[in-house]
Amino acid sequence: MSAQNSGAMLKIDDLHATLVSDGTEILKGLSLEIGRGEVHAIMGPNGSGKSTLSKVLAGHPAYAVSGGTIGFDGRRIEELGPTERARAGLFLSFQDPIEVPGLGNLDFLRLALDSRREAEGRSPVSDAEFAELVDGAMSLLKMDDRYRTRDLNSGFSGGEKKRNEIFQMAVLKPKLAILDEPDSGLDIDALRVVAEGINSVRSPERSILLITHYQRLLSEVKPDAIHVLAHGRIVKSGGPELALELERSGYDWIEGA
Amino acid sequence: MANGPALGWNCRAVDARLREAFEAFDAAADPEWSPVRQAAFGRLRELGIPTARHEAFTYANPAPWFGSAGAEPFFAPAPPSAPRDRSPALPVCPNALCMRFPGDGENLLEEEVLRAEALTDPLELLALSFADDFLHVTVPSAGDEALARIVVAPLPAPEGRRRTTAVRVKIAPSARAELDVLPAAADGDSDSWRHLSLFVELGAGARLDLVRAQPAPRDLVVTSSVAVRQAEGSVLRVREADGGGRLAREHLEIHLDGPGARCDLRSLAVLRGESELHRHVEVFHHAPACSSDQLYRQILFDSSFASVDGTVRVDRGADGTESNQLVRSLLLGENCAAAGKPQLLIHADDVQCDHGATHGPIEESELFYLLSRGLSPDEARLALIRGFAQEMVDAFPEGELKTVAGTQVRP
Ligand SMILES: Nc1ncnc2c1ncn2[C@@H]1O[C@H](COP(=O)(O)OP(=O)(O)O)[C@@H](O)[C@H]1O
Ligand SMILES: [Mg+2]
Repeated sequence: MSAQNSGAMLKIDDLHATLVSDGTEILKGLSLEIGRGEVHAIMGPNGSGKSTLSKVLAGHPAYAVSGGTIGFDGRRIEELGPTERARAGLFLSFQDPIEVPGLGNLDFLRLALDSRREAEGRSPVSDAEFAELVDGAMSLLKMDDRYRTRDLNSGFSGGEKKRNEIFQMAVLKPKLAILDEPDSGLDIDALRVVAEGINSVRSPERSILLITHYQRLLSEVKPDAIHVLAHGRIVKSGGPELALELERSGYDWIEGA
Repeated sequence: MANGPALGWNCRAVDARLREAFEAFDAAADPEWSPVRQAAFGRLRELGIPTARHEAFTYANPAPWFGSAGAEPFFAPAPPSAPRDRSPALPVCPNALCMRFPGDGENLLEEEVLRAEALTDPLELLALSFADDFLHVTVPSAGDEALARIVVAPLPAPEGRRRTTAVRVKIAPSARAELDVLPAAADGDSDSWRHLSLFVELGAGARLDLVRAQPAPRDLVVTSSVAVRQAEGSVLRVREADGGGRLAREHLEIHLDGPGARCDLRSLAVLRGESELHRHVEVFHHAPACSSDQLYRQILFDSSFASVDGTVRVDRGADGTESNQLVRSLLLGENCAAAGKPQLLIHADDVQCDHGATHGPIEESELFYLLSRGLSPDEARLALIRGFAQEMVDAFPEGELKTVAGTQVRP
């Protein structure tokens, strides 16, 4: 029963995850499948485990998978380190991206891109090619030139960090992008720009898992499915109309939320 | 100079016997004195100085060496053969020090031989009389934005011995200068000891960049004692990168004497093996509206050790003082350790101070972020370590020493 034959980009089956520090279980039997080329949204109350899910998928060492499986692009990945997962084409846009003063934004992006290319057996990106990729993504995301010379997220506002995450995604073109609240802290214009960035990587070959609280982003990035995460599992799934319903009525009416 | 605190070294603790003995010692850098000095060093070695564990925080201050119970002052009376009528002038050693200036250097700088009688503090004179290389530089007011560049290039310390370079720099009001201290090297493979004694006076509105970088040569002991006095509105920037060596001890003392004087310090230490670096820093806010801003970054591999013992004193009446002192250490080695003792002694009312020290390994969240982008654990660690150091390196003015500082962090 490998994920290989299912054709799914991501197949999570009965996933349990605990905190390494004290053994608290946060994900309690979560199942989810995202097909190739699909965009799925996850909504859910604060503290329900959305960010935890995103980090567990990316291989954060603070969490242990205590049960279940994660299939990514035909491969079981629970045992892989974060580096290997990223090199296999998984990308996480963080809810709170960290700042690394002293590490150039583009220097870092180039390292990331080259490690991905190396894993695919390709040579390091040339200056010209890198410049082209960066220029394209920067104009798509309406980023000003200061992003070129600044250090990684250093001194960035919350909105600038979010935009920078989407910028990295646009350059790295991952197979699966997990976006943890890319819309929080953005004004309307920035939200539209970020949505455009997300839409730009949509293709039949790529999938997106979008974590958000707001209908607003989902009207710009139209999801194929919406799931509600509560208490560490998916308690309801539906089509795009589910988002509107949640916006109107909150989570209380959903059984298990 | 005669009144006010002692220059360079705080000699309150010095035994009266020492002063007496010293007064009998008429300083002259004459070869005749060489046996006396040798005897003195012999005495220091007997006392076990320098050793890694000796008086961790005051090593660069010589006072305790002499004041210790039972230790006789090591001065011998003047050798009988010493001619009494010799000029007490101390020599300049042009080999040890070179000076470079842009444009017409002659106009920018006067070099003068320091006269022993101009000095009133016995400890200072003691230090100078023991100097192997000695220079007194005056940078006159230049009117425009001309930058005088003084380069101190210490000769290698002889094997198994100490070499002291003493430099006094006086920067006239509103003049600008950069003082570069090039790395010292050991001569041969065995122990040697390099000491820098630097005293700087900044006139009103003068500006100085004091830049030094010292990669870690094995088996080299590096000590320094640096004192700066700043008149009204003067600006001092200290940029330093340290590789530790076997043992490094640095004493830095900054006196903000005039209103509105400012100093800022960016200091990087990258230590490996068993290297040790101790820094003892005192900043004195004597006048109102001065600012001092100190940032220390220490990257410790293996079993290295670094400490910053930093005190900021704010005198009564020094209102409008702003002072920051932050020490951050990355602990990367199994047995490495860092200590920071930021201390504030405030006697004024209107003061803004921010002091702190954090020592720890690489943050897991930072590491994870980089890993999640496909960097290997080694690449990620190196990128974070470099980033941590880079901010300090970026603060260096362009030049040779910036390159030296930048190459401290290797895989
Ligand atoms: N590293 C952690 N340490 C301690 N508690 C954690 C950690 N990660 C998550 N949790 C806890 O797990 C629950 C889910 O958190 P999270 O996944 O961030 O929720 P969401 O993103 O849905 O708001 C919360 O109760 C949170 O406090
Ligand atoms: Mg969250």
